[in-house]
Amino acid sequence: MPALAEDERQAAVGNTPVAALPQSDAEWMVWMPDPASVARPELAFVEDQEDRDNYEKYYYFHRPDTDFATALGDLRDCDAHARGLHRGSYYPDSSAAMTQYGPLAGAAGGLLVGVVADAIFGPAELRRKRRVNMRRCMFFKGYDRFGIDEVLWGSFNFEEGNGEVTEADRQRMLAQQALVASGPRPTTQDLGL
Amino acid sequence: MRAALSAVALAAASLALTAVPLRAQDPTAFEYRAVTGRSVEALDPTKAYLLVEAPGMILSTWLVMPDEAQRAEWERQRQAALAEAVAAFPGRLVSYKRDHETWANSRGRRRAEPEQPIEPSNENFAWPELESRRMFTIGPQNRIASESEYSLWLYEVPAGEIIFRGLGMGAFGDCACLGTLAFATQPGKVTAVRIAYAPLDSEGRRIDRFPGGSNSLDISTRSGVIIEPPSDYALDPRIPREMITVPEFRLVEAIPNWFGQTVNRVQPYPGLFSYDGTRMVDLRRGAQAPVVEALEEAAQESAAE
Repeated sequence: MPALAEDERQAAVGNTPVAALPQSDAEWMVWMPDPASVARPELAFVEDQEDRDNYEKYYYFHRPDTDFATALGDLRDCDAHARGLHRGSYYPDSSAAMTQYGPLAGAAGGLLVGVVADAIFGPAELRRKRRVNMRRCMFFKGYDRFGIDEVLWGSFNFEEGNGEVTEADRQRMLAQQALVASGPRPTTQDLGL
Repeated sequence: MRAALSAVALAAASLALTAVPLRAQDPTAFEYRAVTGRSVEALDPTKAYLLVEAPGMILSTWLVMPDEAQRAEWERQRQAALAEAVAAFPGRLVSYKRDHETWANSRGRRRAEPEQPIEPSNENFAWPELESRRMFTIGPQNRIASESEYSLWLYEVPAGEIIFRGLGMGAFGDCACLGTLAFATQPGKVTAVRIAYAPLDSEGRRIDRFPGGSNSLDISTRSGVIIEPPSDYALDPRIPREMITVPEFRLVEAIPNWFGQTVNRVQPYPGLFSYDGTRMVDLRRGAQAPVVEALEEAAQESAAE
């Protein structure tokens, strides 16, 4: 999945001035935008059989009576599980230093197993793992799942798989997903776990 | 009703040595051994044992909790490593400044800009959690029983607390990171548990099998993880009945996903616990689950004979 184009990036955050946006990965990870400034994705489409066949992969989450900040926190928590960020260290907030002194510096042999496993399995397995983790984690938090057309899904979702998803793009899209998750109740069928 | 055991080939009377060497002052070290062959009939009453029952060949991973002395030694090692990093930082800073100046003056700056080193401190010096280095996997080898309906593994383990980490091995399995169970192992006791996978429907409820035509991603996602009191298959006649015990489970709501695995949580168990969202709810108020009562009654009857 290619990184967002600049116009897509700007569209994702509406009219927020660039200077007001986070300037580092660490800042993006805790960025809490005004939901009014986040561009709401298009969700309406005419469903066909191909869409239904692909709902295992292309979907969004929603939970009634959930505000934007809670939804974004839940999505970030599950995203962290999905990308293996909940790997544990004495000081997990020191993201800026982790690559030098943290587990990624090679201190934890166990973590290297995970890193090697990611490299061995390749993009398809990484995409599968992400979908399994997001579906399970969000289901356990009480979110429902609704199918969507692949093209519409791609406008506010990303794939893992040995490619580079910048932290800024990731957080922008998670914010859009949170807007949907806390927005009007979908009228289509809940797909469940 | 216990299934009759088929004839078991008697191996040489020796333990399958899979122990992690116990080195002095190494808090990551602990002993565990697969018990097989004639050794199953000669358990050491001073040792603690874990008996794992499964419906088939299912690997399971377990975490041996450290004690306070081991935690203290681990922190001492961290502080020593931090001291080394602090001592080395001035030299790294000098090297960085030299390398950065070279990079800045290079034509086209084709190489990546050197990364400025961050001064190490007690707040930013991350260190792997000790628990992440104290795990072991049971299976696929060393079963003491391999029937069509069940498999059994018997391991000598440290006495203390063990947490069920998940099914599979290392980075290649499911981590019960979003809800699991822990229990104590004791010298002279064979603590028995049952583990399994469970097909789930779209509501997360257990079903007998996946519907025909289920796609692979749905099957992957809707595979639940089970750890529960064992069935009476665990009453292997070679193991003294009075040694077999069912654990007093402790609920563990979260453990870190150290290896970037797929995350899961153990299935609720009637009378033991359920879930309220992500929260585990302890349901124990005196009454025990039927299978626990049956096992304890069987053990008591055997002891009375």
